[in-house]
Amino acid sequence: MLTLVLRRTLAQGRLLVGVVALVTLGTALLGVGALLIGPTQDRAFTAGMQETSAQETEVTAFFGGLKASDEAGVHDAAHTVIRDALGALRPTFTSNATSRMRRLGDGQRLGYLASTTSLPKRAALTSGRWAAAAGEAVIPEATASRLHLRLGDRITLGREIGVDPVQDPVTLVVAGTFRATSRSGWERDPLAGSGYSAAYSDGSLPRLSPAYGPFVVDEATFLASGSTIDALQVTGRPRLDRATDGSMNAAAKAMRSADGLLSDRVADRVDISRVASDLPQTLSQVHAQQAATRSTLLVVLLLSTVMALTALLLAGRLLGGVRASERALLADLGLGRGQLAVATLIEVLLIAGVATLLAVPTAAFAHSAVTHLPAMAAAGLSQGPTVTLGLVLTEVASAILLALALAVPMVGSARPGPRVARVARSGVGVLVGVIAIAAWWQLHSQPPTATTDDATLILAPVICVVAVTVAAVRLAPLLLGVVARVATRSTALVLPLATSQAARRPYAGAALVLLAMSAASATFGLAVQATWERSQHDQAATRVGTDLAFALSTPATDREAAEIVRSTAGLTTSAVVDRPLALGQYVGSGDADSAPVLVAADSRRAGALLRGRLDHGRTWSDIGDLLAPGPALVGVPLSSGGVTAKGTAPRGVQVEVVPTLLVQDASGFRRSVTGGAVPLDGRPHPLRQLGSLKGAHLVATKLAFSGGAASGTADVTVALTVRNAEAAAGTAKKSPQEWKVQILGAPDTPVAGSSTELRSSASATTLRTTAQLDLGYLAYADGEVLATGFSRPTAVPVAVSERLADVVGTKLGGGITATVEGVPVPLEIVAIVPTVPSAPGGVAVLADADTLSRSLIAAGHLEPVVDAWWVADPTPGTVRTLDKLDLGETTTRAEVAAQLERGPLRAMVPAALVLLVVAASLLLHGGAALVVGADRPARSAEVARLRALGLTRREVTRLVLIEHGILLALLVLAGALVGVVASVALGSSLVRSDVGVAPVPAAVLVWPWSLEVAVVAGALAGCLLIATVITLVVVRRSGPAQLRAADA
Amino acid sequence: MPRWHRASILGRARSDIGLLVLIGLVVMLATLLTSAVAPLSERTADRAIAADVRDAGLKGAVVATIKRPYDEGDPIRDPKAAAALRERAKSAQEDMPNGLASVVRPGITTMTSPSMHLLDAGPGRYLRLPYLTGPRKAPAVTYISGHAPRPGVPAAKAGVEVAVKKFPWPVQVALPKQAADALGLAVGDRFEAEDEQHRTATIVVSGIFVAGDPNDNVWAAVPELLHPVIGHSDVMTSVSAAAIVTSDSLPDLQLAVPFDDLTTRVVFSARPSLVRWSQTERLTRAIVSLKASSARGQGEVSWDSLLDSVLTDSGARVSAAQGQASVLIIGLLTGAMLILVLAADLLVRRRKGSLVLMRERGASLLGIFTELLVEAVVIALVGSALGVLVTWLVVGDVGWLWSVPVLVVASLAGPALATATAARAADDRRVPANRSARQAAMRVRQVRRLLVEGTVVAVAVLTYVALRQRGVVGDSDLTASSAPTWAALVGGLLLVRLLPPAARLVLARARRVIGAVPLVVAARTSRSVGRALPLLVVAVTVVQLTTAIALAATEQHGQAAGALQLVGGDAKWETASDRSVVAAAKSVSTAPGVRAAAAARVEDGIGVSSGSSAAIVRLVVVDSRAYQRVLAASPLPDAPQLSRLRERTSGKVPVLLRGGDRELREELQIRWEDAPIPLRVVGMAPQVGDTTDPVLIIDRAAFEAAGATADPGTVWAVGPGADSALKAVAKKAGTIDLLTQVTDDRRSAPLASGLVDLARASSLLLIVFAVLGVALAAAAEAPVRAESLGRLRSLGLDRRDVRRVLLGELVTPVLLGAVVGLVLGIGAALVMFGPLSLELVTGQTSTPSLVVPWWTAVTVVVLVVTAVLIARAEAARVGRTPLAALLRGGDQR
Repeated sequence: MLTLVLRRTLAQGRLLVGVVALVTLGTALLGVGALLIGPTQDRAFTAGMQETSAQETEVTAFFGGLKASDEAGVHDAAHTVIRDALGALRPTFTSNATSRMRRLGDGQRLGYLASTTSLPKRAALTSGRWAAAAGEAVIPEATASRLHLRLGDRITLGREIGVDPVQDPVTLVVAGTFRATSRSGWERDPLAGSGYSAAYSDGSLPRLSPAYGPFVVDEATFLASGSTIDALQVTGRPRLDRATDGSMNAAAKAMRSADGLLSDRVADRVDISRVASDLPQTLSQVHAQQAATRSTLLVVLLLSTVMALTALLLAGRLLGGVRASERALLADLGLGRGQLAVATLIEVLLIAGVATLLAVPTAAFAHSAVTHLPAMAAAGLSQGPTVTLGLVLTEVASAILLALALAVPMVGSARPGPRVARVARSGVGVLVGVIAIAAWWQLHSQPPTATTDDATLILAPVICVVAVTVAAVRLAPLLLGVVARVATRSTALVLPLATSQAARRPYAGAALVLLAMSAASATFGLAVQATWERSQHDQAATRVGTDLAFALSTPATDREAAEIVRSTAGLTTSAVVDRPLALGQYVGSGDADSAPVLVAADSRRAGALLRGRLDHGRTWSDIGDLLAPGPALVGVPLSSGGVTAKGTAPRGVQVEVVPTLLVQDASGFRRSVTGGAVPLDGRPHPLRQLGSLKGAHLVATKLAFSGGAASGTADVTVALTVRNAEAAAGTAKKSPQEWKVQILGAPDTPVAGSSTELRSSASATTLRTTAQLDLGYLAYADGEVLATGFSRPTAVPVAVSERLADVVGTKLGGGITATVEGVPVPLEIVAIVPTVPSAPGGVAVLADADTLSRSLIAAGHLEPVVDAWWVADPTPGTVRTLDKLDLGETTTRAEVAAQLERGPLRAMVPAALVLLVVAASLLLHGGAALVVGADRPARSAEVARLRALGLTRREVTRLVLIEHGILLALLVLAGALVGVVASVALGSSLVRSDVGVAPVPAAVLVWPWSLEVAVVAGALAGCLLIATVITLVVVRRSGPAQLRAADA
Repeated sequence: MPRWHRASILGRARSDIGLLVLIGLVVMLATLLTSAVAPLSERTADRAIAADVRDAGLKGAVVATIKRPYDEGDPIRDPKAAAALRERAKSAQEDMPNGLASVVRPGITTMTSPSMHLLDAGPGRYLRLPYLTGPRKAPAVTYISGHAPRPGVPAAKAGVEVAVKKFPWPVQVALPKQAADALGLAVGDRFEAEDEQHRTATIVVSGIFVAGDPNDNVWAAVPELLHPVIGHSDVMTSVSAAAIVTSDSLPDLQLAVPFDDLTTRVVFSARPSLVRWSQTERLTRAIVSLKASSARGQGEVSWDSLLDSVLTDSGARVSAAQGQASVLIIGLLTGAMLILVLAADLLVRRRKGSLVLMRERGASLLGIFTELLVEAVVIALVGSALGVLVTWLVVGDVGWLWSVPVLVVASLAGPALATATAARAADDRRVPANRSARQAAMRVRQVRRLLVEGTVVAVAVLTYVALRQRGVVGDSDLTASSAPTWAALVGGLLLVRLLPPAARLVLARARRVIGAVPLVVAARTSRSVGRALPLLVVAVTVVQLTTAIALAATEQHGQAAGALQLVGGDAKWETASDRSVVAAAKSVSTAPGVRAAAAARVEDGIGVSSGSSAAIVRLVVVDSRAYQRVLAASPLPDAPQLSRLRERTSGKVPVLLRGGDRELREELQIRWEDAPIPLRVVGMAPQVGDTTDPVLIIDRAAFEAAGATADPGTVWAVGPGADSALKAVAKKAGTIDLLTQVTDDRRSAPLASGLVDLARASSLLLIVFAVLGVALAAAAEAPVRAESLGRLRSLGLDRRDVRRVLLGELVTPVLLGAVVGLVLGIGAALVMFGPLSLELVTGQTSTPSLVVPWWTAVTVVVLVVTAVLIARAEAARVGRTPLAALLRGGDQR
């Protein structure tokens, strides 16, 4: 039997080589898939983990209220618990300890000690050196300048405040000064790294006190001081360069009991202890991303497998056809069915063996090539050719499976006649249609929540494409018939002959399905990839909301604002408010994404600044116009001459006023500056400590009255005089402004009535405010009056997201109330947009920052409310400069898009789709070669006959070429059509977000015309080339000898 | 368009009127149930939502906080304060959207001060001063001493505005008796009270009253009015109570208490019975819209409510239950549709002659189809109209959606089958003479069948995977909900595949047996079991029936088991932990009708840790001997390992632990009253209560020997007298849970009872369908059987053997189908009930264990009896043909 098989193999070598190549191709494809899902996903996991920020994976133990003597023990306990929990991830530790506040000298001033292992990372030395010896301290610059400390000075921190204080003072030598470089590292510092706070309170102090510090000392000094430790945090940062799924899972699991374990170990020694880590959430997010990527990968693999199976069914069929006569002969010789089957099995296993041998290296190299695609390489997923046990097993299993698929038609004998086939098809058509619709419906009705790894949803697109292809292919003979009927009208010889022959011949279903499906898969894969990429860009645009978002870690001061404005000079920028807010009493329904968010930006630049897709052809400029704040605010120009306050009060009334000025600088940034207290004694007092006000305008002022003891009322007047700058004198006169006044905090205020007026003269502008004070009440509470250069907006016009409109059930023109910084702000809905930039799919409102600011100021809230700066079209330099400012985090749209599209956890999706297109083209051409090539023996006789009838060689060539060309072109075009149908039906529902939920905004089908046309044209050209080559061979070899052979 | 021949339509219908009526009846029955499903499930959802809103109590109320206008200038005593307040409340009510206003009660208006600290005697006494009124009038009260609060000015001035100069301004209040007792105040007392900012008010007690109707929901607006809150701590006892202000003294309250201390609220409590499932979305939106309309302290009115989240949570539960219901409905629909197809098949068999004749005479297929369609549509419409009518009469409302498939199948099955028959009859295709060609044709048919079967199997696998992966979460995911039905279909197909070869095997054996009956039966059966439809109908309906019965039984059993687990015996008393509870438990255990009782301390959220792990556990400190007796006496699983708790060794306290990591078992220790106590795990604890946390059980004596004290606060009792014995010792302190009551509560919960009702109704209908299926299948083959039996009779088979042959022929497939259906049904229930999340309905913490009542097997008996009866009837009919006539001319029918 083996001899028979081997001899036959030698005889039909060429065909068998083709078959082996086909099996190898299919097997290698599956092998590449196995490698992508196996080692590459593991690598992607590690790479993805490394891309997470430190906060997302570190584990921190917090302790509160412990004695210095217990510090070492507590520290050790924290180390042990965190190290045990992180296990194989071998963490590195940092720790921070802050002491309780101590008195500085006899006064109210406070200072505190700190000991930290991470200071050089969070701060830059500005003078001196880091503390190296006992008793040495480094202090923030602000502390040094306010306490007038120089290097080498001694300072003594006295006894502690609070309950059960430590009395022993600590004397330190200043060794150096530093400046905090990153705000995020100082979040837990009592003074947030600023080095000074004029009004510190920890609740135990009777009044607000000025506080200075930290005095950073080494651990020994810190412990020797015997201070009570207010806060100790020990942070373990896992090493992620070798993070594997197993080690991370183990760590996440251990996190669950870490808190209890630690609190149990240190229960006697500390007041509060807690272990916190975002690691479990980070891990589950990474898992969700992996699952989302894996499901796309599986769809691609399944499609490729189906194509490979079809190709092998076809090959088996052709092989069976070639051997039909041989089998009949063998059967006549007395070979039984069983023996035939054994022979086939042996042959098939041989093929499988050879294919496996070839496929293992092929898959290893192909996988390496795929991981070297630019996107994958950029994500750090490039791998050299590797052979894993998983790969070998996959190859063996798939080779056997595919080879068996080859065997099925080889064993089968009789071909159903066309009529019987028709009967068989009659029900099948309906079935196929139902299956296609059911599969489409599965995908279409998938919930918007995460559904990755759902087997039904992974299979649905594959089933749908196969079913639609089968349905389309069933129409092919009909179409050929129509072509033939049309062509018979021609009087020429070749065309009618070729078309009628093409229509008449029976075709193997597998061949038709293979060719059409390959074409369909290629076009479908391209469309899905384009759709996917576009969707990632859309998602990135919606997520960031603009081109560059610079989120501040704390509200900006004027100096920082100026720095930011300087760094972004020449670009379209806007200060942005981006924060959660309460809508009336509504703060969300419990889901994370139902908490309302406020986004306020400069509406006049909305068109250039905001990103994200809008509906109904609207642009962000249109929306911006609806939100526009009206004419720009021009206040009283301030000059270097400063501001003078003069207050008058009736005789004998002891009242002071603290004026707070709201100034707006040239860039539109508003801030408040507070002058010192001014007695109402009728004399002018220049306001000090205002800083530089050059180029700024005064837009509002708040007067806080205090004092008074007697009963009765008094009318007081405060005049703020601004000396006109020479240049600004003219403008101020030209537009006499209407200033409004209002009493803040009514009704619980000692101010009973108030008025204001603005007067300009050539040299100065004076804002005169009169207030009627209830002196008895004033003794208990301050009275505040606010004068503004604009009137309070009745309502802030906002554009709301569809989700908000849906949740709140409000309509255009409706009113809602937001609470921002504790100030209620009435909002009026002027537009409903699909989603608000930077709040994808959330309950969000978009407002104009200026209008919002006016509304807040008019309600008495003068502090700047700016959370971020948004920049349109930034240069790479802008990002670098902003990053250098160390004021917050920059996020660019391009970066987010790149992360979504080519991040280590995502890069496999486009690569897989490219793989699909390549595999489909290979199988298409292989299939075409099989279809045309297998026809050769039958065709050469026919050619000889036609030549004998007198057709020229050229005519015969044309005839055969047209015959093949019509079929191939028809199938490729039908496949492309199926690709279109599948893309329209499935393209957008296949795209999910990075964590497997429905993307926001919803994906829109992109049909990349040029690429698609190129691929289809390439496929057509390739097929025709194959047909031409084989035809030429057939025609050349045909001769009288063949004619005789055929006759025989 | 083909023309219809009215006479033949009518004539055809008349000749098969019985069968048509039967089809109509099936349509009616199916429509009856399916059209009732939507309104009934909506009604159940309404009840469930109403129950949730009722349980939410004040949480489900809509509260308007009204800002009081501030008058500048000198304070004035405003005699119209109460009227003004009422006016503002009314306008707030008018602000509410109509949809919301219609589901809430008229508002209860309150103007309250904060809890103010009384300065007359000792710390820890607090009093709130509310003015409260219903929509029309203040709640009725009876003064038992003193009088109602009166204006703080002489009667003559009470009606006019008085400018007030003198402060403090006293306010008269009336105390409920409970508050007066708790605070030790009497009529005429005059005292000072201060708020958090130490601003004082002067209060005069004018009277002490008892509430006319303590259940009036007006009182609920200020709960501490009738129920003073008494708190104990180590240092002192604090009392928080409230005293009312009337509309006469309200103007004084406004003067006596600082302006910003008084809050005005209108509380609109929901009317649970008016909240509808269909409105929940609209209501939620209306509430959110109200809440978003204004912030507190700004604008006239600001709104607060948690009703929206109550509705959202409730809606989620309802939709889970609807998902489970859709599993049952899909099964039922499949049964109904199969029966309709079977009936249509019978009809077509009867009409085969005339159909073939029509076709041979030249009738077009379309003509035949439409003529029959008219008839089928009329029957289907009449049947469904009747069904809908009955539903409408009984239920009062009708749902359409689920009835549509029944209507479509009833209309199309008959015409389609008939058209196919006619087409086949007049098919002019030649049967190939060539054997291999015939084989090829057969292979094509086989491939087709394989394709269909493969598709069904693939779909079944996919739906099952979907069910496993997604669970049944709502009523919209038909993929997951249809998994049990697809499994039943696969089972049926499997039976159809396996029976013919099995029957052929039996036939081979039967050939060797002496006697004609087995041979004849086996020969016929081997041919007839190949017919897919009857077997499929029997198997599928029995599978669905078994699933439905098992579902109902599992839920009922699960509810009882869950209740038992929660109560922990026949009754449970929970009270404040105290030493005296030990004695109480002892006295309960000796009370008549009590089999056992045990006292325990049950604490949740206790942290325990071992060397390398930590967990939050439920700690149970119990007299292990008594608890062991309680477990032995109750149906809860026994725990002999409890006895190990009393062996004390190595200085560590022995404990039983259930759940938690494996690492937790090493070097376990617990912190109790700030001291660590080392523990040693000696075994697996029994489950105590329905917690999902790990459970740690310690013997009280051993625990106390280790230096800890844990006074018990829970007593479990088992026995018929448990209820009264516990009530006797409890004396109204704490709460008592009774097993019977908890079980009843769970069973009567709307969603649970609705689902069980649906399962029962569908099992009833399914058994009717199964019986019908048996009858129809028998009827379809009856003519052929009669013919062959006639032949056998003429060959000499006697009457008894005829009956035996018939019995064998009819009963065998039914028995096989039913038994296999039963087994498959149990298997499906076993595999599919996990992902159905039945615990949501039974209220357990884990998946309820599957219960299949023994009487499910009665289904098989019923079906077999049906087959036997049919066999007897048919035997009688066969016997009626005179033998002489048979011998002479064969069967003349």
